[in-house]
Amino acid sequence: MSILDLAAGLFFGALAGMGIGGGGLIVIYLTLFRDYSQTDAQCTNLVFFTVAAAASLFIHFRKRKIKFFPVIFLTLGGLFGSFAGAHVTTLIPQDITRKLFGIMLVTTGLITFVKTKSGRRKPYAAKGIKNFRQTHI
Amino acid sequence: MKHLFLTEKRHIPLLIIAGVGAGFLNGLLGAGAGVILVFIYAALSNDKSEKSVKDNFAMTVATVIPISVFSTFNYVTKVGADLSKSIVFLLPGALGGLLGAWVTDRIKTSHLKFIFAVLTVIAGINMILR
Repeated sequence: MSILDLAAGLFFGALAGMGIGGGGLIVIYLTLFRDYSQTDAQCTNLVFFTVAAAASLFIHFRKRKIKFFPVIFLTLGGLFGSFAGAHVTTLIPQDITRKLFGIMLVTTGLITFVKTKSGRRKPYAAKGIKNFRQTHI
Repeated sequence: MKHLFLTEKRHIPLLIIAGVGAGFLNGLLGAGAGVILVFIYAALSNDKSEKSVKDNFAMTVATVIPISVFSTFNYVTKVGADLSKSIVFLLPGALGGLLGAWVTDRIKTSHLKFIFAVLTVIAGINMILR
């Protein structure tokens, strides 16, 4: 393990802890700079996100209210879906998986871009008020 | 739970189907379930306050963790991934997660999200064209 791996792990873990990036950014680092196969990179991303998110959940979200009714059933469905998804991964070439991953990244990025941009729009200025100052985003 | 739309037993199949979709992405690509789940939890709640947004994010993370653990198991047993290549990132990932959680209450993350959204799109295009 190199210093670069340590720094990358800290950096992408911090991003995951802040809720930035959709959880797939470390795959780009692993496939571009560390020559990981797409499968190994995706597995690393799963392990990595689990640990980073659990750490973040412990610190940041202890005070949050979690409604267990939807969580339980979404998780249950997710387990079945995960099994099916992993099976499909074995059926398609890694090149195709990489392109699908790229499409997922573009979609995630565009959604985040649109949400962040719309959240920064200035509120409607009331009539007759000059020098209206934006008080919040 | 009074502010949630879907709270009745008859909505359970819908929740499971939505979970299957998110889990399928997680199993196929190792990521992406969070995007769907954040959207689902936001749609379930009629409370749009910042507090509710953070609660929804916490529920998304709580849902994705067990799904990711199961996906990791599938990747190692079915897909043949090498787990030893992943272990090296455990400790930095945990420390980074703690650091990110600590920082997120102290700085405005919307600017960072905007920058990384653009970088994510660029990286995604790079992966498609590679």
